[in-house]
Amino acid sequence: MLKEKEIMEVMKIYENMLATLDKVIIGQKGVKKAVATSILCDRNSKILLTGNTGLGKTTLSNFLASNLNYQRISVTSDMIPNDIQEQLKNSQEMRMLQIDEFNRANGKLQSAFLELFAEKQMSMNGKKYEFNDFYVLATQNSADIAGIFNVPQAVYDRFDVNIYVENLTNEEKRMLLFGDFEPEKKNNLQEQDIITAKSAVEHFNTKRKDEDLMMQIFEIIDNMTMNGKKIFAGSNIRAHKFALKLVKLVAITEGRDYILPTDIVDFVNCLYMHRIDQTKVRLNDENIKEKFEQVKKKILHIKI
Amino acid sequence: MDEFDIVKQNLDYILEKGDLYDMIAKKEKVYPMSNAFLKLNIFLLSRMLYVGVYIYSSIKARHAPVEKVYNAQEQIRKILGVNIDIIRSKKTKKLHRSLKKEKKTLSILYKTENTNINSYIDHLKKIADFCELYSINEIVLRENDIMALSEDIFICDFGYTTMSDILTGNELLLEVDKLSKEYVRVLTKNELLKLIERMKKQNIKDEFIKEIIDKIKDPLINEACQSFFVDKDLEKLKMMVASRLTFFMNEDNISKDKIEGKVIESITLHDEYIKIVTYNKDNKIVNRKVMYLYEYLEVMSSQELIAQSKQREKNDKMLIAALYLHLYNNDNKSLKQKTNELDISFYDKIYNQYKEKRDKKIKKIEGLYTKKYKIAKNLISLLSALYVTCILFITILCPIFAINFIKKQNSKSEDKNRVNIGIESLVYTYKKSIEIEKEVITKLIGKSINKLVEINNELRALTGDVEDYENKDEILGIVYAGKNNKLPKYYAMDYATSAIYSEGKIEYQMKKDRISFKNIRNLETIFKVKYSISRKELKSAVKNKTINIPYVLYPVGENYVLTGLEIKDLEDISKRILIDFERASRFDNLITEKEQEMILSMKNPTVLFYYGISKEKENSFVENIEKEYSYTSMTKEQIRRQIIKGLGLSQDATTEEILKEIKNKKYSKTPIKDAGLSRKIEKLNEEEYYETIAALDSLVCNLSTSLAVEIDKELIYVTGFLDDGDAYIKKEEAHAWAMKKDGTIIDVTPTTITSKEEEKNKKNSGITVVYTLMLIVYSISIINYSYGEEIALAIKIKKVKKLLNNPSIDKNYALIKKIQYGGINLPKKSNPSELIEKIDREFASFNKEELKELKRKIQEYRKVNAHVSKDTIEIVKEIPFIQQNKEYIQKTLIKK
Repeated sequence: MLKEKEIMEVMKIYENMLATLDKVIIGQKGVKKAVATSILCDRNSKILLTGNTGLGKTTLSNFLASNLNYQRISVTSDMIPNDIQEQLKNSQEMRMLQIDEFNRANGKLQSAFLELFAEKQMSMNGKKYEFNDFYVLATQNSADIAGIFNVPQAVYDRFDVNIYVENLTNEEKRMLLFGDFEPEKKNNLQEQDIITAKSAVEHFNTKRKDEDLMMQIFEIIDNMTMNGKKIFAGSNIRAHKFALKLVKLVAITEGRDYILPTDIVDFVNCLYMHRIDQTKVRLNDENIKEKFEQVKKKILHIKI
Repeated sequence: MDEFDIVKQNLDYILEKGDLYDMIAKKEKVYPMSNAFLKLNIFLLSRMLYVGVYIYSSIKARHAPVEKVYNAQEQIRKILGVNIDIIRSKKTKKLHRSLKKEKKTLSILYKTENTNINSYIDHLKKIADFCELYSINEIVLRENDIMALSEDIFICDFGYTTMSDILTGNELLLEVDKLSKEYVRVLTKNELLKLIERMKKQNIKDEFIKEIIDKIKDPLINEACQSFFVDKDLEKLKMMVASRLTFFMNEDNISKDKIEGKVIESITLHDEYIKIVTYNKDNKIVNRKVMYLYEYLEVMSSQELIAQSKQREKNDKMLIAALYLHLYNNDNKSLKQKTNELDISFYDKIYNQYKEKRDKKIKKIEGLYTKKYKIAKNLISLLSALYVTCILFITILCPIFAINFIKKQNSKSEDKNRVNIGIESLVYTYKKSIEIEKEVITKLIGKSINKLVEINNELRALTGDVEDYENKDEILGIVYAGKNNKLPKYYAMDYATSAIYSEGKIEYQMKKDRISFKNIRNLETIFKVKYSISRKELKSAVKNKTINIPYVLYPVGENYVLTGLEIKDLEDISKRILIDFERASRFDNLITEKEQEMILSMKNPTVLFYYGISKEKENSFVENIEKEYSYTSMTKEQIRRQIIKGLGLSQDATTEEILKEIKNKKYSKTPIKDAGLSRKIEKLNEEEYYETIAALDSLVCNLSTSLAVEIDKELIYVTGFLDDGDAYIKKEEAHAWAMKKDGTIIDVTPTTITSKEEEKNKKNSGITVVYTLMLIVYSISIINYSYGEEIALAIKIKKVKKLLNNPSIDKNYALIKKIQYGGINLPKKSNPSELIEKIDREFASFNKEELKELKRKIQEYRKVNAHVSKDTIEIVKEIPFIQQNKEYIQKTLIKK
């Protein structure tokens, strides 16, 4: 049962984390919220940061990893599974796996990642290496054309969230270029904070109305169609499970022990957009964004 | 921004600001007054405000954006390709709709010097499309243009008027200018389309058709044309010709393409254009093209078309094409011809003249409003506004009269005139509001009062009831205290020398004292009395190197003596002259010629009398007054007897007793009226008069003093002012008292106010409050009518910002959610902008009833939990407003 004290603690942790992230990158409010919420709601979150070069994805990723036992993989197109396996075989206690340029991974490497993400294990030379809970923080450059492989939907689906890092506004550019902004390097997020947050999420007992609400939301999302066809290939269960944890965490950070439609609205894009069946619709199509906006409006108008 | 947006923006701008004609008229100061109703009401309510409004309107008119509007129109013309004028409606409001907001509309004015009918039709088509796109439903065309280009065309079913009427809004007897008297036709969009069709039909020349069909071999066309000559069904003929032409053009439509191999071209006709779609052997579209029919036929004009038809093999195709183009009215066009020749429009002419006038090349703009027109139009507007205002005032007065009537039903007095009371009260209140305004202006200018108060040349004083003075708060003098704070109370102006009774009043002949500078004493100045003097008075007082100012506001009651006289100009401190004891005693001529000139050149003169107190009695003007009350039929004794009778005393009562009895009465400003004797008293003879006055329950100062001066022969009737101690000598302090020759003041004016007088004050103030409130309500409704929406929005936004900036907002918001959803709801710190976003989203699904229900729940909750702030309900109340104006509120928050 969630208590007020727990809620207050989590609110504080969350606010501190946001305040710290403000010192790491300029602007990108939505990104910071999504990152903070994803990390706090689940100790196994798989986070993908997508965006153009120079927007601070790697900076952010480095920052988040700085206070944790992490491993960093900078993917190149000629990498083979053995390369990462060698690197990771002695890092079963790692808490974060940082992967740069994820979309450069070839098919074999992707399979290796798939095993790692899904089963928290790695097979190498007949031996299995099992890992504890760890975060994955991957980055990919959306503008990159050469040297990328077609990442299968199944792999993308493993990422709980795909957070799109938007281009900087003029004001943000000005601050970055002419201001005295120096990104914070040290992350003060403690392991204990993550445990507290996770614990609060676990203690969050959904009531009947919360369940009904979430079912309505999931139904709206699952039934999204484009040109008469459903845009999602799978059943989205994996996504919904994570969404539920995330929404609980968001409700707690808002000081509540119940869920409202607004809790999920800001995260619909990063939770579901990367799960669209790419054979049916082109990713980043303007129509898709519009579609998602319509869905968000629908969600906001759900009667509780 | 695309063209549509540009045009829309420019049209909106013209609609909002006014068209080019309006702008130039404003700039030339010949534009008639707008919002006459509102302005008249503002004038009635407050002159100060009206001056402000007038100045604002003038400045606004002076900065009328002529060039901006011109450029807006030019942009529209450029995009449209036709030289139109955009007119904003100039119709005035009708009386019965004068309270509604005026709705302005736009119309198009087009006139041409072009003699080409096809060009004209083409322009009309463009205008029709334009009007359709931008929802303009009035097109004004010059009648002569239509008639000149299309003789015998039927246009009687279209409305007509003169250009002058368009510019003046059909005001009777008002014309703009001789030039603008030409007739115009006013059409709606649909009527314009009708006109275009008619003109097209008119343009179809039978001779041309006959000439062409002689050459065409195609039997179907021939038959269709013959049929046309009989039934005149143009549409049928056009369809047939178009169909045959399409057939001919598609006849040999299979060709070979280098890349695609075998290709098929499909040609469709659209007016003067054709569309060619090319398909490959798999029936896939490989090319699309649109071109002029002329281009396709490889000619430049219809003449060439006909000429070439003689040379080419398939001459039927060319001839049918020529016929087609004629029927669709495109045959006078050629590819070389420009399609948008510019005409000089009416507004262009006005604008060009405006520029020339600005450069001083011409003196007058012809075709523009004149000053005479402006005056006439303003007059009409003002009269109509006045008419409505009067109706409204009367409407408001009626219930008040009814209330007064009911209240005064018990009144027995024959003098009570209920309608008069209502009107008097209203007038009184209105006058009061003017006085308040004057006071404000006076305070704004400064404490230094510089009114030019004319000396009352009427040296008469009449007894009787005293009504409230006009401008009773007018300050006539100021007393400046010196070291000794003891200041006089009585200031004499005039002294009565004789009296005569007539028709219920005693008329006193009054005399003023004059300054004798020889009497300036060498004593300490204790106080000064300032008196504003007009330049006219000063001029008459300063002559022959001397100053002869009458004594005004002369302090009496002690041995006050003059110690000096100062005349100064309040606008120029260097212009000042002080006549003190030394000067007064030194010179024979009091002032030099130069000084005289200086005094007469003063723009804002004021006089200060310096006073001191003498131990001895000196210069008592009173002792020199010779009292003559001989113009009466009664003797002094007879008068005294009547007074005693009226007072109810015994005939052997002493003077002191009588004076005491007079003083013991009650005070009222209108004792005669109070006694109901206003009409009766005029009919009394002198004997009855004195008795009646003495018998009154209450008296006013002039009546009590008139009795006193009859009782005591020594007493002189004096008029002046009785200062209430604030050192300002005001008009309302006018007083009458008696004085002995030795200067002793005998004031027998009763001091106890009657209950009626009290009641009157209360009543007046009560009614005043009512009427003042009415005026306030009326003025608010006027302001609301004009600016209501903006004011309401501003007030609302202020309220919302206040709520959001309240330190307890987070707590209150959490409480609202708790009441709605239950469970835990801890306050979360959010800035106002974030909170607005939250409110908008979290209540997106709530309808009115649900919000109402939430309010009710909160109210219930507050009953049990008294500490809960009322803001919780206020927040819920403002939710719809916040949702509707989210962006605007966030912008104002950012601005702050």
